[in-house]
Amino acid sequence: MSDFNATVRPLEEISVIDLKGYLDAHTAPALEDRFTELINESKYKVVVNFKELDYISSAGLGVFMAYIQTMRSNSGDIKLAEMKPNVYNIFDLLGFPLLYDILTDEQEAVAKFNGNESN
Amino acid sequence: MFFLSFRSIVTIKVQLLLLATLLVLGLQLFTDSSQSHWVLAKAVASVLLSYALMLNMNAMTNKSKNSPISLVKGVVLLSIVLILHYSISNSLLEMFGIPSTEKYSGKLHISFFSNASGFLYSFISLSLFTYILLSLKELFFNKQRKKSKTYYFALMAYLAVTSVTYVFAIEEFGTSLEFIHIAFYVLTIILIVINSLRISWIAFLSKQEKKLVLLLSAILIATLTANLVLLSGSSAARTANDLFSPALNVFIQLMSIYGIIYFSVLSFTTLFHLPTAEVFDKKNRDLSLFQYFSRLMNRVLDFGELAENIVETALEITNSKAAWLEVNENANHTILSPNLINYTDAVKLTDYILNRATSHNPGADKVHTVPLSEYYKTGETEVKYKYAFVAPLQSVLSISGNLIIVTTDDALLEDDDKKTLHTFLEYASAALQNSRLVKESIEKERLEKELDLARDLQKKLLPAQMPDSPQTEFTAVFIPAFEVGGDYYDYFTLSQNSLGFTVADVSGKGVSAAFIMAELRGILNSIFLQGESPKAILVKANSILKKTLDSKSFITAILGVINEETGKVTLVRAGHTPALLVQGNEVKEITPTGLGLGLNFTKLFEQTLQQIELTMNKNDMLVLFTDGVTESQNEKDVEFGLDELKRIIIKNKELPINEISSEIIREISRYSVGKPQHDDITLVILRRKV
Repeated sequence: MSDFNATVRPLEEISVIDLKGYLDAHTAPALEDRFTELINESKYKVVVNFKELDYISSAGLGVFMAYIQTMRSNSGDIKLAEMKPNVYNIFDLLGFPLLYDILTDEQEAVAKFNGNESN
Repeated sequence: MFFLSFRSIVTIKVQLLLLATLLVLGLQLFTDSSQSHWVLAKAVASVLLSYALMLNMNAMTNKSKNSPISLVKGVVLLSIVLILHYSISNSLLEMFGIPSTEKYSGKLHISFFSNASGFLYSFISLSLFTYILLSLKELFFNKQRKKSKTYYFALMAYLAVTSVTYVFAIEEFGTSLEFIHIAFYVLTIILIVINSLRISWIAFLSKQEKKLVLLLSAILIATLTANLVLLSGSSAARTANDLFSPALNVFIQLMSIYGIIYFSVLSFTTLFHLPTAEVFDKKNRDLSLFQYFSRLMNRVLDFGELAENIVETALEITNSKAAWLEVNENANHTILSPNLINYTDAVKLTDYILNRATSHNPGADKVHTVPLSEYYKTGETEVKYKYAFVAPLQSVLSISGNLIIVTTDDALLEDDDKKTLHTFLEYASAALQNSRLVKESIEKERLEKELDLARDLQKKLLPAQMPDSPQTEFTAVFIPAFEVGGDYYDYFTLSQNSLGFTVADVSGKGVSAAFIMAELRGILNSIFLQGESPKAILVKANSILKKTLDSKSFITAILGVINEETGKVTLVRAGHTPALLVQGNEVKEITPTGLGLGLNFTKLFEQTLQQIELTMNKNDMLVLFTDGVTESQNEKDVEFGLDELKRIIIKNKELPINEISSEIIREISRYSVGKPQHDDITLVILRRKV
């Protein structure tokens, strides 16, 4: 049940984290590790692909809150993409769309980074 | 009276001894030693006396039955005493008028006094030899596994019979039965040889002890031979013994022969055992180390202390310079208990040694040998080591690792040592695993206590009962999860016609969530009473919580104030699950915008927090809850959901509100049968009565 996977896929300057399964208090550390690794490599532009994520708990939400500040203060960001409706609903209730870029498509999220760069 | 107490003090054994002594003494003093039947009687009586002596002295030798060395020492001492006893007594006896004879003569005229002194001498001799016989008996039975009692008792019987039948061999009596004595004599000697060949205890001695046994045996062979020679010649002592009973001389002769044969065989056996003694010593030492360690295993449960003992024992087994443990547990790599080496050196060497060890192919004993000469071309340590030996721990559960031993000399570990080490580490690994399991269960218990504490704390902070208002009914249900979340609900009487209420959920679980919840309660209690608007309250609460909440934590909350006169409700929602407004058959989700508390501490929080107003008419209901309600899962991990909640509310809306909430809870528990509740469940319902 609590199978979870977070793998990093580099896409030029941007790093895409693919999430899969259940993200809760028990699996959150795995995602935290991915973020820490990216920060150590000075990769601050991150797109998280939720396509295969089935469930997220409040502890899972906490992970994004913990790293957003570091990314943004290094002229990067965490953009969230391709959430299933039930997952989006949880982000939405909490007000995440007010704070994060949540996009329907991964390419859109990547484009948003590139667009910002050209500005 | 006296007789009675005498009998009660003196045991049967002692009574028998006294009786036998008196019998022998009587026969010696008052019978005619030229009469063969009296002499036969004497012989039988002396055997009886010897038996009585054995019964009385048995306890003395029996107490040292497990230490053959001390038995042998005792025999040596006695044999020396015997020589002294002979040399002193012989001249005294001559002085007292006992002539020297070479063979038995019953026609001697001995005074009463001489006879008595002769008795004393012979009695002591008999006692000493009986004691030697008992010592030999204990040695015989020591470490003897097979049923060898028959041989031993046969020897005893033949000793007695041979001694007694000597009477038939006395020339003076002219019987033609000498052959009987000779036959028994030969058989006794054969039995002596057979019994002397059964020595098993020698193998269990250390090298040092074996050397001592060799020395003692040499002394014994000398003293017993001397004794044999002295008594076979003509002497007053011999005459005294004949007067006591001619059987005594035969007994002494046989006992001396027994002793000489036994200790000769013993010397030879010891000699053969001597070269292997060292190996045997080592095995013994290993064995006792193991025993020591397995005792320890059951007592020591602390991981660190156990590691120290493992390293110490390994050092003793291998007799090496320094050792330490390298332990991997849950991807944590640690160096434990460096013994006779400093921590830094152990760390430095570990990586090098383990790298080399994996490239080597170890033997069946799985102990790798790694030469360190390469290492010292670049690296250095306080002491320069020549070889390292790596023995893996048996990995079960989560622990794996290696014992690393280093030496400063060229000697490699013997195969035997490797095997011992390997076996030892099997035990040691099990012990380490054990201590971990114990620790885990202690930890689990501690955690459970902590959760109890959190649950307690949480319950104490929730209102004991809901407000009793003429216009609005209130009901609340709170069901804590095992892992305790941070659910919170409360109400605040603001003025005569205005009442505040809130439901909140702190992210995370356990004590930390319970503490944040306690703080939130404090904050809300103080701000609410200042009479500010719901929005202003949450804006203030958010900025105060900045100090408490870490970057990963947040709180969702719904907070409102109801005007009891008008039924007007002012409501804000900070990231919380929607409130449900039930009007007739319609359930409306009330979801004004608002960020969870702790998500953002800038103006954005205030800007996006929407405060709404709604009016509740008669029988309208407002249902507030935490996500524990809608996220309860069934066995297929499917959530209960908002629609199902709405359906149940509508279905039961005519019931009293506490029954509505019980119905909801009942449906949830029916839905999630077989699935543990993983989050707190909080449900608050308000219904207008007017």
